[in-house]
Amino acid sequence: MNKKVLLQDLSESLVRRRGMDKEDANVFVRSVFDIIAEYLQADKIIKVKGLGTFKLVTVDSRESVDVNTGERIVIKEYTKVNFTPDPVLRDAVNKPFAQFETVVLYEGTDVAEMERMDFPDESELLEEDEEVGETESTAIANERLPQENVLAETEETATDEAKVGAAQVETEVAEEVVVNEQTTDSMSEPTEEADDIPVLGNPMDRMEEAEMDVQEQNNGKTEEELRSKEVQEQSQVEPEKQEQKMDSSARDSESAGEKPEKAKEEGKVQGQDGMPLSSEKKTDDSPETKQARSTAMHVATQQIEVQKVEHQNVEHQHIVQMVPDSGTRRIYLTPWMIFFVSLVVLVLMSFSYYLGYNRFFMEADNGDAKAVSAVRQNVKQQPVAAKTAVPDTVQVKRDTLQASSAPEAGLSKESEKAEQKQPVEKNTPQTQLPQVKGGAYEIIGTREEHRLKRGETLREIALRYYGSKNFTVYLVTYNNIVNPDLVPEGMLLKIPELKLKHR
Amino acid sequence: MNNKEFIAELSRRTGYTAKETSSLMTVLVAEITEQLEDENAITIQNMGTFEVKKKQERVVVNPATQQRMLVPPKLIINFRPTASFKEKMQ
Repeated sequence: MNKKVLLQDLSESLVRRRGMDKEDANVFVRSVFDIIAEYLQADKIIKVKGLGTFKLVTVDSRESVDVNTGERIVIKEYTKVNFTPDPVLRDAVNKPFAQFETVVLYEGTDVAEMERMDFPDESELLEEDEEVGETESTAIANERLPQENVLAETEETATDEAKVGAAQVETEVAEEVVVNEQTTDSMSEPTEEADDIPVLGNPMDRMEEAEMDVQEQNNGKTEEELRSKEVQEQSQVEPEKQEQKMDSSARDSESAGEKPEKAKEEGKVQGQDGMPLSSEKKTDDSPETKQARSTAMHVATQQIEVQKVEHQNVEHQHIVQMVPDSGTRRIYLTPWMIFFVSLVVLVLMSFSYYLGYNRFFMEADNGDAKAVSAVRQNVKQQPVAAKTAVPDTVQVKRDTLQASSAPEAGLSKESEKAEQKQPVEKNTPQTQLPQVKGGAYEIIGTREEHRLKRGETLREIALRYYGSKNFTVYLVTYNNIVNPDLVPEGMLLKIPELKLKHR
Repeated sequence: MNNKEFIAELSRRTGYTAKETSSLMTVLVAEITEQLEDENAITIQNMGTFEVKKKQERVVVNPATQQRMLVPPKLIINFRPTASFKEKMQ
């Protein structure tokens, strides 16, 4: 591995395999490459079977600007040696990665964040893995890629809960543990969840499928029925939501069967203020009523003539329902275990939240107001994005594992790449200094200051300090100039020190 | 120069018949392939280095459809000519 092989080593193999004289073998191998070297210049192209093609490519002369001095320089025409390996050789070398294929990424797959969460907390990752495990396994059974979206959404919902704050998260935990003692107040969280979930038709279907799989009803037609059934259940609960909470599901299922049409109307009504519904749904999932619910599902399954309700909000609620569903199902084991797991999750969430808060918010304190506001936004988005990344990572890992055992080093390198890519794509102000979006240079400090005189333009100044007026944008960004065409006379301009970004 | 011409020239220089030369070349290429498969770098003096590089997986966007694709990692063969060889080719 990674040795250096010399010409002599190659000729030795000829000696070994063909019993050639050592001297002859050496001459032979040397003349092979001599011929390539000699005839390449004359013929411009040499094809050697099994090895590949050597080609001389002429690169035209071109003009360029010396980025350090700003001088115009001409890069002369030159020839470059190009080697294209023979397909046989190329494939042989790429054998370890041969089983990978290019895959299409769907909307909502946040690639930039993909591996970032790999580093901070392995145990957290494991938690998340566990949480999404149910949905994931079903989806994998389906062998479809887009389920990443589903995972992403599921995670997003979870993250939103984290965002609400420690206190509310606590409520959430309590909710899970003591499902029966829910109050309408604690339901404000699911409300937010439903609001934040993007409208995506595809993952919805997948969710349906996941549910179906769970119920082991592989009948294709039931998909629609299930959906409409959910609607019915909810709509039933709506009018009577104040009075009945705990035992509603059992009644729901029956009444749902009786008035499918009314259910449709009410489903729309819920679309507007339907949030408490999700909570009610949760109540339905409580241990006692779980059985009742499954009966309800069977009842609903039998109604084939039920109308298809495609109200988006209703679908949202469906997602919301799915999330606690997987949660509660897992939780039935022992109350203590539930409590412990929730506690661990809570601690990890607040820990990572605190880390992110520190990293992005505190640094920005020294910066200008603009950066701070941008960072504030970032802080808000950060947990969401980060969590969203987790299922992706999991997915990728799984893919890799499924295909075959890919090198571990590969994964970690990929994460490095992802990290490098992130600032470019999101233009996150990682440091307190304002940076130019997509710029080749990074602002690392103030080089000097310049008092603006009458008649000077930013372009002139950029030309003077950097040798090119293209650098004006750095001046504008660094000095927070709102209108570059109108800068006040006598303004103290900070000239930023630039550093070439490494890509 | 194609492979046939290459073999002809090689046999002229080394004194083997074209058939022998061809079979010797097969052995040589097999050896090179094997070495590169082991991710060893082959250095030829006054010419350059054949080495195996890993290309990271990356995301590409189809500009027409805006569809994002994940391109898997690859091991590729890279030939780096030495400075003297480059100079000679000018």
